[in-house]
Amino acid sequence: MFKNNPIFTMMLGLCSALAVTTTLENGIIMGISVTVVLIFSNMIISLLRNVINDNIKIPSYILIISTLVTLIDVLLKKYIPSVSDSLGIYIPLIIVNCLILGRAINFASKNGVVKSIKDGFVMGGKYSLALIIISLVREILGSGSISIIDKLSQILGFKLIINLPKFSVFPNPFFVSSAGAFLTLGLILALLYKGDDKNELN
Amino acid sequence: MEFKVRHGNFLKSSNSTNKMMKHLIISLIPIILFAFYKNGILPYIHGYTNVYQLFKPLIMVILSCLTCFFTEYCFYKYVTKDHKNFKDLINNTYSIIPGIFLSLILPVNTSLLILIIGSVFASFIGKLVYGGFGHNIFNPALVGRLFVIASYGAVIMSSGGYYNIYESVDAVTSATPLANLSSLNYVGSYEEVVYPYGSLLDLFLGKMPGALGEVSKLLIILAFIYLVCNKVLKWRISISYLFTVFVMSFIIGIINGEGLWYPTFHILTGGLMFGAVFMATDPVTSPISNSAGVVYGICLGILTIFFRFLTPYPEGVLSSILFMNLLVPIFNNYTIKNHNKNKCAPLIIFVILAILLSCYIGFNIKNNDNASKKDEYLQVINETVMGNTYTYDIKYKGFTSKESIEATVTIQNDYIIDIMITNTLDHYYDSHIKNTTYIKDIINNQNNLDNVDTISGATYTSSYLKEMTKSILKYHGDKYEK
Amino acid sequence: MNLISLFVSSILVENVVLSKFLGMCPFIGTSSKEKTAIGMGISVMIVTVLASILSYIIYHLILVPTDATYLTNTIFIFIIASLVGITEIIIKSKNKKLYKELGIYLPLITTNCAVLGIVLLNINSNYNLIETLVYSIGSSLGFTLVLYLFSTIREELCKKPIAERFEGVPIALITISLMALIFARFATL
Repeated sequence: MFKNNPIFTMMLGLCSALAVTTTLENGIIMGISVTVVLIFSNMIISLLRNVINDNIKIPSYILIISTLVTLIDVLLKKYIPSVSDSLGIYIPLIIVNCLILGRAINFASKNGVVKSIKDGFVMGGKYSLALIIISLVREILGSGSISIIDKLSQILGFKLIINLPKFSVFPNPFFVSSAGAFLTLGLILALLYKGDDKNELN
Repeated sequence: MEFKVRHGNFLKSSNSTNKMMKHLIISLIPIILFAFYKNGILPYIHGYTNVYQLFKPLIMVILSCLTCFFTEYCFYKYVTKDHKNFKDLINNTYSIIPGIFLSLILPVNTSLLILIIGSVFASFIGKLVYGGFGHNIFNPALVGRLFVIASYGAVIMSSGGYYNIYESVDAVTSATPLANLSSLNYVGSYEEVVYPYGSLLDLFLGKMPGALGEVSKLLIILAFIYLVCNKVLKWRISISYLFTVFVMSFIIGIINGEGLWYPTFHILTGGLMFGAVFMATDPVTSPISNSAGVVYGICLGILTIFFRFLTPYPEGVLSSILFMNLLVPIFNNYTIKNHNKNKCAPLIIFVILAILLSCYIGFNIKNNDNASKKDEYLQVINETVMGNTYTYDIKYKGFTSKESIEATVTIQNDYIIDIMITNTLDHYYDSHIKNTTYIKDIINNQNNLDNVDTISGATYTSSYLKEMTKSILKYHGDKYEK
Repeated sequence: MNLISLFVSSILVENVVLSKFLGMCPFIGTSSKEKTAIGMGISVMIVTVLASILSYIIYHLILVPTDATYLTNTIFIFIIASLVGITEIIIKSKNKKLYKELGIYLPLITTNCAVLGIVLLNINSNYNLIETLVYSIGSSLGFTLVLYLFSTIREELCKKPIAERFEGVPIALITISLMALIFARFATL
């Protein structure tokens, strides 16, 4: 489950991973967005893999990815503006998420449509899993709550927030801050350490 | 082929390290005892506290040392799994040093749980992950303190902060001398700045509120002399640090018409002397050569003045030492590359920088009508009055962007009881401030807002909320109070 | 005064890397040598400033009047990609050694979150042209500063007996976390 994880092993897409994982809900939504973009981009690029000239390969991939991301951005802004506000510039930054471009170049341009879609699912799923773990740790330690549906209440109509009992040292605002994000990721990586995999990290 | 002379960043032989640590601990003993006397015995004699509070300073020091030792023991046993040299390692790692220093730079009202967490952090993140003794980049005690202040600053302040119970009885203000100075816009007369805490002599002897070990300048100077005589301290760093701060605050004072008492005040307050003697001179985290040490001290002085005068945090020693720790590799590389050449250039550059910065600060302080400017940012849209309760719907203009934040502030009996942010300014409010107790801290500390720390990572938004609260309080006060 | 504090804060307290998490990839990868770090930083600075100005012009003069702001992201990324290509050609012709050292990380500036991020932040914060310029220069300077500082520390980290678990990325992240804590104290008002 943790092998070949985009965040924990391959260090791709860290920007969004650290920035939005202040609450569990943000992490889930970002994970879903990235997965959706990844699936569709893999699908489209795989469909067009024999059509696109090698020279304009990367610009055309970027065009496809940015169109998909703009679509998601516009949809979010229109239907769930609270989520769009809370994720800020990190939704458009999915375009430069190394994961999506990386999978496009390494996998989708060389494999069939079905395989690419499945790869999109798998990689997106692993990415979301990593985001969920990081945001769980950060939110529990940092705010003492687990908010599963907070901003989404705009369209769903209800909230689902689990508040943990607080005492003097418990919610530690350090973990919600930027320094806490780096520290959390560093400690999680140290915890998940596997001796043989170390050489694969470049 | 290039021969790079590699200097170890720890001392030459374990014998001299041993000697140094012994002298260090001996020099700290009077300071620990004084902390015990001032924060434990004095309040107890006057009947203000119980036995636990009597021994609390000593308990803090001992608990901190034990926690650090235990952390290192667990780390070497379970994480590194290097059982061969275990006994050697434990004896030579001087694990209690971060513990002693951390407990001495924390206020007496720190709860023991916070102290334990801070010690674990200081020992583990500050020292062990880098490879243990001699390999840390940052001063571990300062790392621990920064973590504690960033996470639990509000909790400590609300349980009394730097004032022990005996002091807070007659206290004129509940702010430390430096916080008081910053609320006066950094320059004031002797009466305003020093008098609430006694005289300069009182500051020197330690009859002022402050962290456990930082208050008694007399004992720190004695410790300094002791350590220098035993040749275990990089005294050039301390002297140049203190001298720079003195000269820079002297220039600032002269420009604003204050005499020699002003720079003396600056030397004698905050963690400056303790930091200059014990923390900045830590051999592992300071430059190796002596001349680099002098420039290091000057840079430290510049940074401390910068932090004290130009940032909302009253104390600057902690951040300046940690920032300079970051630059130590650059100092060392420069020394190695230029060990044959004349090294006056950086010295002159930094001296000029120091003088320029102090002139800049000096001239801009009295012109600092930030207060009135900030009141222009406030726009009261709606005001409802119900008896003693005033509810204001306000808009407060943004600082770098042009939008405003909208809030509803409820004031009852001239005291804010509720602040509700109705329209957020940016992404940082939602993700960093909304889920914390920051608004509650602002309300709880509304009479002393300068003591509320801003939240790291959302510094703009959080300090901006503070300014907004100050503005609405002033507005209400001007309008309704006689 | 506002511009100066905008400039200083964009370098220190609201640093793009330490506070906004943008531009992380070069940290895990390059920054192993000081000169490479500075070269990388300067390339990023040039691309960022030019991209910010171009995107400001295009956004306010073309996209907003024609109500085509949904094209923002795509157009911005293309501006950045073209600028990176041009910078690559210039560096290749002027300083072959630097080009070799930067290796693959030069074309990767296109996908560097920092560049697109700064450009987008300019638009989101509604800066005028001068503020855009100041903010882009400041932010990219901040990026270069952190990259440089980290490269000097990286050299030291290699020599330390760090536990196996923490070697490589974890210790880098922990150091960056402490740097973030320190930089956050530079809040100026």
